[in-house]
Amino acid sequence: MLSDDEVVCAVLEGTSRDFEVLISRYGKKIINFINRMILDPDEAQSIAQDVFLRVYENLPYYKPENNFSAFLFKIARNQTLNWIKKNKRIVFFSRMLGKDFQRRGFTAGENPEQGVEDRQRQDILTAGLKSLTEDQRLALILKVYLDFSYHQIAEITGWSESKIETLISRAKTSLKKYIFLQENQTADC
Amino acid sequence: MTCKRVKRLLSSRQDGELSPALDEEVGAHLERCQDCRTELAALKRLRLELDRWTEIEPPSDFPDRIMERLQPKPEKRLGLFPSFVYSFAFLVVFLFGFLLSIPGKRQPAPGKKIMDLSAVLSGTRQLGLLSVQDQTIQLIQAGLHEKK
Repeated sequence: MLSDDEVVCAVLEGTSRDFEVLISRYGKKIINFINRMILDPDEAQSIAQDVFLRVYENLPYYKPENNFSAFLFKIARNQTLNWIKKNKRIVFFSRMLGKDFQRRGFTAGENPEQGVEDRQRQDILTAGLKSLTEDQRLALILKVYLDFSYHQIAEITGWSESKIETLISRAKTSLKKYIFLQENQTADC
Repeated sequence: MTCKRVKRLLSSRQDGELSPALDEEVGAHLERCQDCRTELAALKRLRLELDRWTEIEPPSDFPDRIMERLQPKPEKRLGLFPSFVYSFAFLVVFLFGFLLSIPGKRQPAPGKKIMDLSAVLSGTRQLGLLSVQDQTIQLIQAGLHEKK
């Protein structure tokens, strides 16, 4: 299998069709990363398309000594934050009106009762994730779901490793409090 | 190492970001501290909750959609100006044509038009530019009269 850098070289040498290899390799990760940031699967797919187009345009500026994955997620992060900035009001009103973004990211259990319980837990988790700051959510997603090291997250975000450590730690503390508190309240009911 | 410091390091330890020496130090503290172990258990539970969030699958044509957008678009036939310029030009021509089609007071009487026409033809003939016969002029005049 060709490495990312070899595929990039092939694309730059004129076989643009090889770019499809990178899309197949990273498409799912990028869509899920964006979906976890914005909690809207349809928009996540649309933004992911723009991310790959932007990556293609910027391939000549990619330095092979850098990590391609970090290069890709840096662009994905920027596109996602731009979208959030532009759509803040829309997202806010959609959430006020109760548009159910979050459930589409989850799979319900096979057992209907289990499904209800799963949904409740998932709703709590999603609400907890929403309660985090954007920076905390970004750092947590890059660590937990994409398994980047703090060093790689620093490359993607431009933050220091100590800042990332603090953001993730605080995110976990907030989520713990939120989720366990909500679970206790649900159990009391 | 104090419990406060250990609790701060637990997140990094869970992420595999501690140096081996620090990791060992935290591990030793955890062995003798129930409170910190409870904190670690809560972190592990949180991780399990986070892992429940399953991934969505991209549509099967996702790569094709992007590759399609990467294809160079065919050049526009009239690519010199933006489309609104053409729209504006069309509008101007249409309005001009429309205004001309409205009968107005300024239009010359039909008789005068015939006279003008014969004068032009006669003048042209005199100049030798056209070999128009008098008969032809008369025929044109007769035809225009009939039309009237």
